[in-house]
Amino acid sequence: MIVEYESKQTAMHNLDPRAKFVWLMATIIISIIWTDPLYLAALGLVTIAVGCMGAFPWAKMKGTFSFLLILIAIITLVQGATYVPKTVSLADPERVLFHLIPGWIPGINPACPIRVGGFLYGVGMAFKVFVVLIAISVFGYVTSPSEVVQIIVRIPFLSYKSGFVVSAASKFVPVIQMQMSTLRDAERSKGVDFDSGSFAQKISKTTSMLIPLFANALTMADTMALAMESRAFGYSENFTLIRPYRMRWPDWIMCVLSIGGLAASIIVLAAFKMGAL
Amino acid sequence: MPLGQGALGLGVSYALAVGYLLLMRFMGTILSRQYPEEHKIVWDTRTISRVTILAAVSGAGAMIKIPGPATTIALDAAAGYFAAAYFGWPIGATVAAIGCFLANALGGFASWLPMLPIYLCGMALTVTVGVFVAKKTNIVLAIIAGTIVNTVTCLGPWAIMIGTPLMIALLPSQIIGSAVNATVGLTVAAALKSAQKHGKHEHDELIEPEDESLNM
Repeated sequence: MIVEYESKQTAMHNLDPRAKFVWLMATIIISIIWTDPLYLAALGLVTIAVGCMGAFPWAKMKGTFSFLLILIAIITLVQGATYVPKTVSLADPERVLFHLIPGWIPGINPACPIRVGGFLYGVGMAFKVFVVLIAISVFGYVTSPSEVVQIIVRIPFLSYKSGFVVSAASKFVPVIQMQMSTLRDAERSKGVDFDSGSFAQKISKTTSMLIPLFANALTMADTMALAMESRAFGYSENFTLIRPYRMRWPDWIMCVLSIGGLAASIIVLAAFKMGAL
Repeated sequence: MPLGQGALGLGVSYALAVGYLLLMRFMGTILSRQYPEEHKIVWDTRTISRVTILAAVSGAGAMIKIPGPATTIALDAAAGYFAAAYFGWPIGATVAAIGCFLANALGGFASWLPMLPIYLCGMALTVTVGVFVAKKTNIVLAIIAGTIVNTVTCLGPWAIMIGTPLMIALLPSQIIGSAVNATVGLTVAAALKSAQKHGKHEHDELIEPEDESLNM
């Protein structure tokens, strides 16, 4: 994860995972439907406020934000130079803001015009990416992986077997990683150097390590199937959870605020074009 | 003209993802009809446990990094190709999709989350196409087909939304990553199948009675 989950006693940590998921989905959908940078900036501030409620460690995002800023700057300029959106709030979206190749350079005419419409659209896109990234990071920080699985298991119309597969697979990842580490050590003890050689040689060395890994995985799957069958897995379509969750009033408040905010943003966008560039 | 990262751009991309699924279903049905022994699957406990473990391998594979010429390559899709070639396309497609989800989840959903369902559908289609071409021709063509389909399905929606210039910059790393994953997944499956076949023959020879009089 960009920011790992930490068990803390904050308002966000203590919420039911379903309430946190509803907030995450509402934030993502609003960020998708809005295109006006001002509205998206406001949504970003709300997301930051929610992160602060969960004591989110903002310093850990510094590297990610720095990388994204460069990417976002490129996207904004590309959008500004290549795209003129149909807008409802701008009088002249085709007005040239500045030229990427300026006219003051002797002997060169101004070229690559950045237009207001495309530029503002690009800024809006940048905000979208930041809002979604912050929302997901905050969600990942305040929600444990087992809680995420609990959400998947409770998705209506989805077989509990799907939830089981995702849940069990996530639990098995560290086991497979440990096996991988053992196999890598075994290969190294035979004199294999994974860091040297050409690209093709590196692939070949890794593949030779992966063959026993996959063979082990198949054996493990058969053992797991036996264990599951011995516990009558699949006998009944009804299932129970070890840790059932119960919604409390703070969870309901979060759900109502999220769904209400989402509904309001859709209505004002459809009726008054608020949120559209 | 790019459609943007708004409702229109995403809507078209999701429609594209539905197209991926339909195409996967179409190719899968052909495989199931023509090769029922390999590609007709019963979703019993053993199948579920296989999907689980191979999805975990896929998730863990995201952490196997091979330093490549354009970028570092993660082997997150190899398990999907392996599963499709070894156990049939339905298991392969499921492993590829769940593995892609796990790899993204473990990486902190570093890519844009609303695109994740499209990637999942794209991965499911990619491994199905890979195993389809492998069955009809050979592994080399399957690797090429898998690489092309993976590149198109991953970058195509982005090209629709934000235009082609940025996608062209990402093309080399995407192509190399896809090719390596397809190569590793399909060759490991072929190696294990071969080993299983030889092992079975040796086993048959071992239990075969040497004395003819013992044969009934």
